[in-house]
Amino acid sequence: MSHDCNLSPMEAAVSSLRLLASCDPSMIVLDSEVGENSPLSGLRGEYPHQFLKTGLSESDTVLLAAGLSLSGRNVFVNSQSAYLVPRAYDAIREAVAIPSLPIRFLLTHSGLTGGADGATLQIIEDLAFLRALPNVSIAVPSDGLSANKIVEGSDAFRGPVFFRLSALSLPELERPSGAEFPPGGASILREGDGVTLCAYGTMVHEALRAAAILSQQGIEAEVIDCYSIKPLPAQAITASVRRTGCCVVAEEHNSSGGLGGAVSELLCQSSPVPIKFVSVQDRFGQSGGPEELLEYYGLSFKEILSAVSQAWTMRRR
Amino acid sequence: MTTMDRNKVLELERIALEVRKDVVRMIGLSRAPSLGSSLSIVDILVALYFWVLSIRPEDPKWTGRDRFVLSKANACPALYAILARKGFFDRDELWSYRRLGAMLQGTLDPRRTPGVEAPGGGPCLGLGISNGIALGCAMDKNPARVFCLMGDGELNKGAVWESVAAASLYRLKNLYAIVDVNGVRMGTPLDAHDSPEALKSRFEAFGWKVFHADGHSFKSLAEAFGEMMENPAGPGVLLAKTQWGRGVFSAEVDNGKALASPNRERVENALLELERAGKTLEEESNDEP
Repeated sequence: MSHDCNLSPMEAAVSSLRLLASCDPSMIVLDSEVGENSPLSGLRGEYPHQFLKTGLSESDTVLLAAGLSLSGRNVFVNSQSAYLVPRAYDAIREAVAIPSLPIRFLLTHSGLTGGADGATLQIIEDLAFLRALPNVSIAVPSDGLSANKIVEGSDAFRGPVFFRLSALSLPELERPSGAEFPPGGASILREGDGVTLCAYGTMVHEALRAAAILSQQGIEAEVIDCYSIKPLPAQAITASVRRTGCCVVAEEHNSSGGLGGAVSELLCQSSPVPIKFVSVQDRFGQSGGPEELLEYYGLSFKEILSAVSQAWTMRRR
Repeated sequence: MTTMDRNKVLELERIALEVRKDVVRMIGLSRAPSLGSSLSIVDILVALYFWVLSIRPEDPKWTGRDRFVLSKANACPALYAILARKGFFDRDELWSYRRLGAMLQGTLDPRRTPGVEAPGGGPCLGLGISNGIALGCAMDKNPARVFCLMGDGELNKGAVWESVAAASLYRLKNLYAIVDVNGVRMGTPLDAHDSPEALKSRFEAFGWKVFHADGHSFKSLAEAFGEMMENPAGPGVLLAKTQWGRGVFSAEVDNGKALASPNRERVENALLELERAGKTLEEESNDEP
């Protein structure tokens, strides 16, 4: 199995689906995106019996997935997050999360960088919706390798799991060889005792840029790739802040309900430390290119640097 | 299978009476608000479970079994009473319906209750799930049939029509929907917009074959199911005309307001009424040769 360099997490997930489909004839992928827009359009020709186009009927797609799962199939669902999560929430909750059916959802176009289509399609609150559901797991890969490993290892998740997949071509991160990505795990990309930086997806890369600059200023940041939003890697985060004494969470999500919320819920109960968020400040997105949007909404290493300096001065030593 | 002889009809009528009594007892104990809705589907369920469905209660997960999905999940007391009578679980479970830790939850839970095929709580999800089960069976070349019972009230939900369209799109020949046309939604009468004629044209416009039955006549139900099974062209729907609260006069007459909060006296009266109906049934069966 080869892992190509600089594949977007979405492209990497597609290659993993191809692998899974060839190994498991009972696997079926329901694709509710239309036509050539779908990243899976290429796979439909290769495995016509395992890829089914359901076409924009998100609620019914989720119910169909539940029925197929109940009849013993290994089911994946591919959909735009902004369509799937809010529109089919009822079906996800009742037909998938409550009975804890092992259905895997590939969420595309999440966050601000999902496309230039503007606020309605740039969902920045999907993790808040999903994180509130019991039985559900959420994972967000930050590069091609982690996307491959997480999707290929999806059997390790119990119950339903949502993969939030960026279509941006993110550079391959340097990780220890043989890195694994189990549910509830975290990938520590850089060790340090000055500040804990928690991030996922696109923002992991910004966190590493910030960490490099901080290092020149004499602050060693510990960068944690929190690919597992739920279950949260509680031990890795708690152990880190016990050494660093402060934390910054950076995410392509609204300021409420995302990883920032999850980390705060954890730390205020176990190891209270100052926490700063670098996230969308409670407003909707708008049209624009990915980099323009990240800059406009304050999601870059620069905001991480200023958040670190605030958190760092607030900490108690 | 199409014709049902008189003895079979009598047998099913006796079973239906016993099921109705169990439903009244369950509702009396649990104070659940779904008496009228549960009573209207009893005969349809008896026809399915004692005439149509191929199932093995001793082996509830038998691969070849026909699947039944209750989309109208608020009427689950009727399904539970039937499953107990079929031997999927002990009848004593019925008396702890909706209690803490009970096997029989207020909403359907396939992980907890043998014989329950699909989850269900809020109405309108059952048909979509049934589509998935039917598609899975068809892909596996499993000859099992999938039956989904919906209420006419839930047809107001938009999500149902996504599933109606999808069943037709996937040409699900092993899918049979039944609509309990009792003309009441959450205790409120439906208007002409939801009449059987209006429903028929709506289903037909989506490419479904529509059948009709009197949902309280086993003869009529048997004929209609027989016709449906002989129609392999695509998904079929049986519009079964029923009466809300059927079998318990006080529930029938005022859409169940008298039994909306069933107290001991009302439950006793309903049971007495069903006892009397049982005596009448036996007298009639003795009268005719």
